[in-house]
Amino acid sequence: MIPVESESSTKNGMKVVYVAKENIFQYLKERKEEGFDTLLMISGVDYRDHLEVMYHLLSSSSGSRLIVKTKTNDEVDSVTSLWKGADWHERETWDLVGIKFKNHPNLKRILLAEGWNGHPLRKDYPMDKKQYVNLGDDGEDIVSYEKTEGY
Amino acid sequence: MNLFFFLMSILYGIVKFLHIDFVPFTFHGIPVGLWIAYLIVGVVEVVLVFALSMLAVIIIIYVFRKYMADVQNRIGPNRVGIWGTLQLIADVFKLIQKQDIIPTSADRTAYRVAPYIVFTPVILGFILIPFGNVSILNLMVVNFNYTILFLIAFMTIAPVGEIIGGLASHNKFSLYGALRSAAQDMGFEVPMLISLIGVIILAGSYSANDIVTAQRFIPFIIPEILGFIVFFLAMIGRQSIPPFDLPESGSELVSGFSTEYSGMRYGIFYMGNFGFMALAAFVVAVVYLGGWEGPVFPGTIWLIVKGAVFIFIFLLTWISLGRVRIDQLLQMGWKYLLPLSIINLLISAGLALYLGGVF
Amino acid sequence: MEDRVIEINFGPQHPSTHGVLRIKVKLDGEIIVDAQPVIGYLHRNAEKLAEMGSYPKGMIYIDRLDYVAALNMELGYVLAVENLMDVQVPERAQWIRMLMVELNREASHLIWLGTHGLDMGMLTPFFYCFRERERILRIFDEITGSRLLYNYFAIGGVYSDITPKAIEMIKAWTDDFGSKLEEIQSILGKSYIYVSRTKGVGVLTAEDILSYGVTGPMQRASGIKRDVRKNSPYLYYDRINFDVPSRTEGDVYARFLVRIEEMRQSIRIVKQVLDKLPQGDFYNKKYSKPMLVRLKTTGESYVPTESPKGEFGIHLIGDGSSIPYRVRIRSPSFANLSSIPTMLKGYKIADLTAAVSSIDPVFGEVDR
Repeated sequence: MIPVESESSTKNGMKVVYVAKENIFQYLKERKEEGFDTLLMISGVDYRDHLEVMYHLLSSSSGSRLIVKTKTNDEVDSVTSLWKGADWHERETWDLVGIKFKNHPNLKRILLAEGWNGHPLRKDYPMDKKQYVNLGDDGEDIVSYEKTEGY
Repeated sequence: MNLFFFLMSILYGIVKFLHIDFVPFTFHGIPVGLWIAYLIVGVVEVVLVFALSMLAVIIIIYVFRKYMADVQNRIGPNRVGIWGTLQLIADVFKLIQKQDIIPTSADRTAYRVAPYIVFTPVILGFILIPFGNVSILNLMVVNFNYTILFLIAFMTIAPVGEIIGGLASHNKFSLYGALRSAAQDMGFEVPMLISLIGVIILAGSYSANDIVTAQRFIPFIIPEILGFIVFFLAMIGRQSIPPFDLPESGSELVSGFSTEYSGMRYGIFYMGNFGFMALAAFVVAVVYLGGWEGPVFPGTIWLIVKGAVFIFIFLLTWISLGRVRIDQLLQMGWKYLLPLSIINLLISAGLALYLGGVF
Repeated sequence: MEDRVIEINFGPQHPSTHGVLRIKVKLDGEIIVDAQPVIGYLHRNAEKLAEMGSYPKGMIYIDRLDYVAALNMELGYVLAVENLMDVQVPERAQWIRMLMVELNREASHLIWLGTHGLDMGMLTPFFYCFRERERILRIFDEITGSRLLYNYFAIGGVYSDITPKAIEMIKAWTDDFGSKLEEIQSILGKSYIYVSRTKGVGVLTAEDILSYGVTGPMQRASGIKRDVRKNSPYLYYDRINFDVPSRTEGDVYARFLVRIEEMRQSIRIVKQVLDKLPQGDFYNKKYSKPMLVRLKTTGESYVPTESPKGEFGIHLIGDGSSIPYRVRIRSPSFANLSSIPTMLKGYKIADLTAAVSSIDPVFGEVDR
């Protein structure tokens, strides 16, 4: 049994659980065996001093829901071996929030072009700087701050 | 009596009327005048047939657009000309104006030739269709003993154009369209030919004219119902219209073999397709419904009515059915149509043996 | 084996990818060896945009997520915000919301049905579906003033009341839509070609569904009978009778049947809502528009709703200022689409279009 750091709830009474970063994989594995068989989404939140990863779990038989959170600075364990659907969610979290997932088979950007500078959902992301996606010679995307020939 | 001799005699009459004596004109013993007369008559004939087939294409495309729109709660073309009748002409002008785009990596010669390989045999096919029998006059451009064989030959050339176009485009989607076209050909061609042999056995002739006259009492659709089904399905498959439009298959392969084509080259593919629809309808009417044979009205009207019925059936299948999958199509061709056509061949051989005198 | 495999890019410009999906397909002849979807061509980062304005301003970005069912998207946002701020909503407004959401579900499913027919090579059902959808859009036009993106649900109610003319229109529509639906269903479902092409194609087992987090009609077609409207009711879905259709085959044909049956149930819901619609206010008068902009809150909330594509919800985190700190969108199509590699492996090219269109992806929502 993995210890829970603290418990709270959302405004509509959904249970929120904080788990230490090191234990997150084991904790989710236990929950999955317990009956929380659906992973609805993985999301990242930037709290300026630290990052948080949220896992929305759902039990398809009983209908109960659970939000698991963990605090991190840059890296957590990947849960792709538990849920195949976690693959895309983790890639998206890496893409937009910049949280790395250990043991992820293919941790690349999913929504933005490969080579994008920064992670847009970080609070310190420079919103006034434009980035351009240019078409390279072999059809690949090249990201730059200036418009180039392939734009 | 042939259309050729009919036009010849008209020309002869004009020549006599104008007191020009150029037909017996010879040069060093060579009958040059006669050759000129042949040439004039030949040109007139070709122009007539070409005009006729183009007219058929235009009418079918217009009817198709209006009918499809009616089925789908739309209005259809209604801006150019009265009730939109001139829409196709406007479309042709638009397509001609368009830039002629050839992909850089395409095989340029083959890419250019392919649309004509699809379109020309359709026009040639119209030459061989017996359009009617007015007293002694046979409305047929060419009449010889093997017209049906030539008709089938012309019909089987068109898919070759599709394959060439698909391969020459140097596009993966086109390649798949060409491969599917080839597979579909194989699946349909063999049963189609075997079912046609039944008709040839019953009529005892390869001539389209004789096949029509053999049906003056009983159309071949009655003894040859199996063959008719096979031949009709093969005709739908040949045109690559839904449900057998696999070579083109808009939603899977973008546009199949014609993906890279644009402008008038695409227009020629399009018109070739509809021209083939008219040709196929007439061929089915000639082979199985007795062509121009029919009471009261002139033969040509009978043939056009019969052809129109088939064209409407083609359009109706187009509008109402989905697309089959490639494995289902091939299964249908090899597992059902081929045995059916062989059974039909046996039946017609038996009929020819015991009831040969009826036809 | 290796040199026989051809790699083809389906999309991003392709007639049957429903927008800008790109699928890298490896083909051995006509058989799909591997299919990897590539997304992100319609990415606007709605989450970041919604985090830059006040709470009511986020609505216009949420509207543009699933643009064929914009009201369902608005509902998810509005419920989350109201939950976060403890806003009381008048009863009439809740019923109006239910009515509108169910109508929009019909519109979304009609688009799906039409384009699905198109992908199967049938042109005609497309026009019939759009004819029916047009009637729903006219009703929306009458009530909200817009046809596609409404911005109609406000925090604390809705922006305008339902007019008597609109109620007449809805009544007329409910009376004969059932028979029209029957007609459209018979074009596809009674066609041997359609049935033989969809049965046993694109199968997802119940394990796959759970593993990928697939929700909505796709989930119910694979034997998991779960509908947020039934299991954790929001609005007044607990006061209304409706069935949750489900099937066990998990193929494209099962999804077709489930969606058609859902449309029937939606008609039932609309009829019941019209009967039960109470009189009263259509918005909470405590929250006038200038005041909405200055709403401040802390805490977090996630309200799951059933959008036409599956479970849709927005996780809102407030930090005490008047702009939301984090708006995290759970988009059903994103999770549903990630099941493509499993769904397509071993089938033929023709099954690709059938299977992809049976997901009903809308790329405003996938790419956000």
